[in-house]
Amino acid sequence: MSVSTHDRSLPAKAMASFRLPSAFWLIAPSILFLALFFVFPLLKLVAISLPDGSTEYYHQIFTTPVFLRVIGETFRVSLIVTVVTVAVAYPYAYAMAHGGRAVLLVLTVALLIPFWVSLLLRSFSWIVLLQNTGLINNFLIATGLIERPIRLIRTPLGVIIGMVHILLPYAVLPLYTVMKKIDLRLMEASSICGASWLKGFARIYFPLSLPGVMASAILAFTLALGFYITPALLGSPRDMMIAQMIAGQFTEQLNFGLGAALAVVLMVLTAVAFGLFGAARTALQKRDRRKGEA
Amino acid sequence: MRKTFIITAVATLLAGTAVSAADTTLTISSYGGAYQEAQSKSYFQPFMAQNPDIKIVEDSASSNAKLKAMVETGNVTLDLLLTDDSFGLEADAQWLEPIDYSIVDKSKFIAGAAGTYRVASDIEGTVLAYNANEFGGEAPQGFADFFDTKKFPGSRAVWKYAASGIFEVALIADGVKPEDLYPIDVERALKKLDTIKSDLVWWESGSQSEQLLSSGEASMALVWVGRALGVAEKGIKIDWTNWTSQTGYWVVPKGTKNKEAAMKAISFFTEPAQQIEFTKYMPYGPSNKNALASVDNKFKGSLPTDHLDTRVLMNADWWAENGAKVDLRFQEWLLQ
Repeated sequence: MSVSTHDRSLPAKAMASFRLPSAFWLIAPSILFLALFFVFPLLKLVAISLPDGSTEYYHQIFTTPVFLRVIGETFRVSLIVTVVTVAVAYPYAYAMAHGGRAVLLVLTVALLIPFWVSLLLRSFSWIVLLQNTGLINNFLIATGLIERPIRLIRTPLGVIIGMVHILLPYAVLPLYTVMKKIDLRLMEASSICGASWLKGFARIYFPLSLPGVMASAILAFTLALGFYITPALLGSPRDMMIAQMIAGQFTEQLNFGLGAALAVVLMVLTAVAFGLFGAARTALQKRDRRKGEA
Repeated sequence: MRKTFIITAVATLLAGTAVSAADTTLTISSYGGAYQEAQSKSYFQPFMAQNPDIKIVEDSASSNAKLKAMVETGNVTLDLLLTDDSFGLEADAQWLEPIDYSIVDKSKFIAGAAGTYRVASDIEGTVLAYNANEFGGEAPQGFADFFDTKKFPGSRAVWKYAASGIFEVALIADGVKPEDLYPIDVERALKKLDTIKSDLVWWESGSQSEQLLSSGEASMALVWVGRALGVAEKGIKIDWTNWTSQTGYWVVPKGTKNKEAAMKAISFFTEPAQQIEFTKYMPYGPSNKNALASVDNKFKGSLPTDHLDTRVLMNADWWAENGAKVDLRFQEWLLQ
């Protein structure tokens, strides 16, 4: 995942590292670790999904409407959650990067303390808040604003609220690192040249922060695809995500083959999504460069 | 999880150093929590006191998936596991050792408790629990009332699992006699469930089912009897007019090195004295017919075995054969 804006310097760096075998040995333990505990089990998973070379499980997945629907739903929910998360994270990171030391301290603490609390606990806390007999509904009924509880839990809204809350730190931190490095004097220069704040933001600040947006969107999207507990607790059965089905195949049905095949399909589709993401980015950059030359 | 792992690791180390005291180490995996503590007090510790040459090491939570993976990779580290109705059937022969009935006395069990590959540890049940504060003194009676949202309004909490008994409940509410349940008419059951679909709330863990009942989020629920009793002080009552069976079984993974000790342990755990002791701590009934009459007073009347006459016995063999197919149809129905 490259977020560097200096892509053209990458090949040179890569060549340099080939000339320096000592640097390679430094990363050898990590590579060995990944090969042993990640690549090998992953290959094993692929092997389990293809018993005796038979593709029956894949055939089953692509001919069973339930699986296709849940896969589609997983990507749809993840996409919505990614957009909302980045939209919420952007102003938050902006305030952290440019709001001064006190603001930075308060926002960092507010961001990181929930981050340390277990995911399960946070999802259960949302139940306490969102359920029909929960804090929000009880408060609204007590103040006479509503008569019957609003359905917040066991709806897509409940899932999105819970997932966005959990993903927020992952989206804020990459944005913050990029924004911190943006030179605010560029904004001053634009205003000297007569641009309004909004125009300066749209033409200068936002394009410079795009690598951060990309990084946080990728991170949020990848993590969202694998969510399991939160949609199970806060969503309705209609909001089922693929991870729930994979777990069900492994723990309830004891069908390791089908579970493994579902996991492989999820992984391949995720890779395809990244491919499209990367292609879109390259196309955008090319367009910008042409614009710059023109 | 990590804690369990560390405890197990330390316990294994200790067990290894204590070879002189215990010749055999029997590793048992059960459901964990209060349930396993009760088993430890009434089964494991008395067993070790009586058999100083066998040391029991506890692990939790037991998982059928883990057992399967363990046997398939040939690295069997657990000797005895507790499992549920869905596992330990003839269909699972490739992963299990048959119960040695020359060591375990087959004649002491109640009907259906002693199988080729599993022996019942205790009789559990899924019961209709309701919030007594909700219906103005009226109490639901039987599964038909579970579907009567006019007389008994509010959400109903149900385990999101096809083989949880929900299909059986729907069919009985629809007028099917318990003895005519199998083969399950899946479409008829789903049609019946459609009538209350918008009132159904699904739970996926025991603690979640308690939370739904005690917070008032659900006015009725199909829950494990232990969970219903756990929230009794919040006004949750049990209707025993109909209930579906659930059973905890002992199974021995294929390839264990301590097969004989495991069989000996099963035999000991299912003796009346131990099973009666267990009912002091947990509201689950004994599987030994000679223990039925003398259960502890603490939960007397709330034990599934006190209501065997109204039990809807679930057919695990039918579910083993059709479970995967019904599960897919169930998931599809949930998504609609």
